[in-house]
Amino acid sequence: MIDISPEVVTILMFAGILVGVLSGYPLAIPIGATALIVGYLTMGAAVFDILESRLFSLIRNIVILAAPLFVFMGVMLERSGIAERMYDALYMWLSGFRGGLAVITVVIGTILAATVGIIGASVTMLALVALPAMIKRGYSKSFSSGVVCAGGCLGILIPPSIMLVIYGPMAQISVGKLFFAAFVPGLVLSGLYITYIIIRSFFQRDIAPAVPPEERSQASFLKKTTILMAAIAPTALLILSVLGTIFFGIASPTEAAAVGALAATILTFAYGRFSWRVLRETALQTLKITSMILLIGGLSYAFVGVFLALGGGKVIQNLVLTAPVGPWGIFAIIMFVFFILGFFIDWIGILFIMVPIISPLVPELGFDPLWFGMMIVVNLQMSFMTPPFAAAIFYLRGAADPELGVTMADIIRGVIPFVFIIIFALGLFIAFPQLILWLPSKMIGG
Amino acid sequence: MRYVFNSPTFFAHELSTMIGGTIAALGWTYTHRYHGHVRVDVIYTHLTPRGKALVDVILTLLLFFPLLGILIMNSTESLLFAIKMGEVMRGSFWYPPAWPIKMIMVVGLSLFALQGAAHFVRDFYLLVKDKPYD
Repeated sequence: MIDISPEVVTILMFAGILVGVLSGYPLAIPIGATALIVGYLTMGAAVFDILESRLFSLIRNIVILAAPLFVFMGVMLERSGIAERMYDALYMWLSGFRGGLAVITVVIGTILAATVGIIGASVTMLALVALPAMIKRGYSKSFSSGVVCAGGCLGILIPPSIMLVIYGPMAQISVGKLFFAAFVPGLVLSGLYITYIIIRSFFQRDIAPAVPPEERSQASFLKKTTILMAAIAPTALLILSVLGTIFFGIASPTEAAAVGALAATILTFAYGRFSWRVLRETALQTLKITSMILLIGGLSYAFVGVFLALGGGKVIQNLVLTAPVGPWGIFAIIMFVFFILGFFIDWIGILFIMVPIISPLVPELGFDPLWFGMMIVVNLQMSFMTPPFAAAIFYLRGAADPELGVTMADIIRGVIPFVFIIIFALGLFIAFPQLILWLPSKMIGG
Repeated sequence: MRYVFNSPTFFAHELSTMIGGTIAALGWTYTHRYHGHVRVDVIYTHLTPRGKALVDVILTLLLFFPLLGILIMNSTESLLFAIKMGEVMRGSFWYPPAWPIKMIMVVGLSLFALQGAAHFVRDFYLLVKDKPYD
């Protein structure tokens, strides 16, 4: 056993993670191994117990158990063909306007966001359903891909989102409250995107042309309304019942998630897409995503346990609280660190490691934990869209049909305006924290 | 159920956490089998297959095996202790025995290590012979 000061331990542990993680080995392993190695050198075999018991306790966390259920709900809804259905229904209404298809994309992104909760899934879905239609109708490639990235990324913010399910227990905040804190910001962002699309396509005539009348639907108003209702009402009902039971204190997020998973299955059944094969594939996909999240989660939780036992928490606390820049300066630094980490490291690792270390300091800095959490989540969302290392861009490129000829440069150019919109929104949330805090304060229970 | 029989489902909470833990612990192997554990591939994607195999071989030896070895050893100790002492879970007033979920932990970790060993052999083969094993 070597006697090392907590400062050196802090540096060693973070350097260990950074090098290990960037090697490209499955993320969770270097995180756990760093804790093992540094822990063994400093406290000997006592570290084994910390690692094993923290891993064992995290995978049995009742709040995080909502994650597999929401994942199941999302994957199941993806199979139900709901995205195509909504697209077709909205197409009848909005295709006649300039920028209409882009608005549809954001609207579907917003609704799907409420069901999917993982960016990979919603960006992929939009890239398959909405992108080809836009480009074939003469929309600019960069504009359309920017819209798809932005619309798809709403998924991590708008509840029920997996990211918030994990943020809650790590920061010891109620997940229900986080859900409703995210509700208004999500709609604000989606509204800003739509406003931007409308303004831009109004001034730039050729960027997003209206669909010519002969390609539009000639159905009667009544028929169009019926189709729209059939496409949107069941999903809306599903989302509202999941969120409503949480809002009125009837169910915990985990219980609501279980109901949502069942309801999604029934919905798939009603749309005639259900089969045992679909159920099997959905279950296996859920298993993969869940155990991946929980391996990172468990080992990161173990890492944090070792880190705190070695006094690393105090080091960070001193560093943050004595920095001569004031609370807002520290806020800016923390945001910047999260933003940069979001480029390189998967968000699951970031949340499980950074949030338990940073969040105890938030009240001491004089910020509302709920508001702070929301800023982190919106900020991470921005970092997923900011070139050059943006998760959303890679998902889009992976999913877009090569025949469309969308290049990396197109996507990057298209995404930039939306990054500025998010920065603007962050400014709004700083200026008007009520946007975040109002709805959760109206919750019953929580 | 809860309202019909007017008795709270006192076992539901802890049983759910056990099911959740089981999904995770037994899913690690399956996910690893299909390379489903997330990698940070900023650098990794630019490597040749042989370069990737080299990274995987070295880090499996240095990080994966020691970590899994320690976790298996420790969870086995914890399992044997639970069996010997008749340990119960204290998360609720149900007090179920602790050994089943602890045994799942041991089994899950062991299978995960085994799958890691399988990948290790394949990567090592690729590294030496410069062609995939299968």
